[in-house]
Amino acid sequence: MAEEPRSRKTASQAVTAGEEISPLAAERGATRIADAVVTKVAGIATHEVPGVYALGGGAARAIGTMTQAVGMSARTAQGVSVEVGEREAAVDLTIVVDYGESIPRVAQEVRENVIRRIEGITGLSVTEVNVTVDDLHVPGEEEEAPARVE
Amino acid sequence: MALDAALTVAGVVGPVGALESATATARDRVPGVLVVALNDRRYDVSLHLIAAVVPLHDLADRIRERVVRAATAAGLARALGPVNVVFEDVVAGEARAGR
Repeated sequence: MAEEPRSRKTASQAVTAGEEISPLAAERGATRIADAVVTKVAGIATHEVPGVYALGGGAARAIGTMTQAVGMSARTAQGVSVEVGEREAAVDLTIVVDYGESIPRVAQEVRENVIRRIEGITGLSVTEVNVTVDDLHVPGEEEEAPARVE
Repeated sequence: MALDAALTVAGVVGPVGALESATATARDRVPGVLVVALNDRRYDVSLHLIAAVVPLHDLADRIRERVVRAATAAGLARALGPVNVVFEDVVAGEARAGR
């Protein structure tokens, strides 16, 4: 993504100096949105799409299960990587798709929903959403096999 | 006052609790608020907040309006400089009505 790195100057300082730094900066103060917010919105938007079983690759889901259990992370953040600039954001997603769903359709709907949500909620322009399908979820696959002996 | 005003706006869940985003007063600590004195005798106020998943730009404008209104009511309008709103996190399903 070809974008200037985020300025260390605060938005209100830049506005006072007459610089154009962000559409979120205004005379009466600046609005800044943390990367964690964009990450969480992308995760929520991905989960909203039918056919998405989970976010994250195998290792991320295993670690995420543990960290969520102790309250260290949110389910919506795993499998999501964002790069956020002053005006633009790029998103990388790793998802697990339900078996039987059309992967191209799910990927396209994820892309559209993530763009719609991030742009609507944060005002950032989304330049790209890259979707990696890491696995397929087959119902019953994760259930433990019944013990053969008691 | 700024934080109290912000917390009355629907969509604001609360302030962040991080120590680096707090202002210590003589009596207590105000979480989620940083105040910096400017050289024109005004104060730059930054609010570090957790919000519901709503359009954040519009929410920031409503917060700013509410803070300006509260400062004006308290006779502090001339001392109030820019009001910066920093959304540190969002919480799904928390479209909380203002107090």
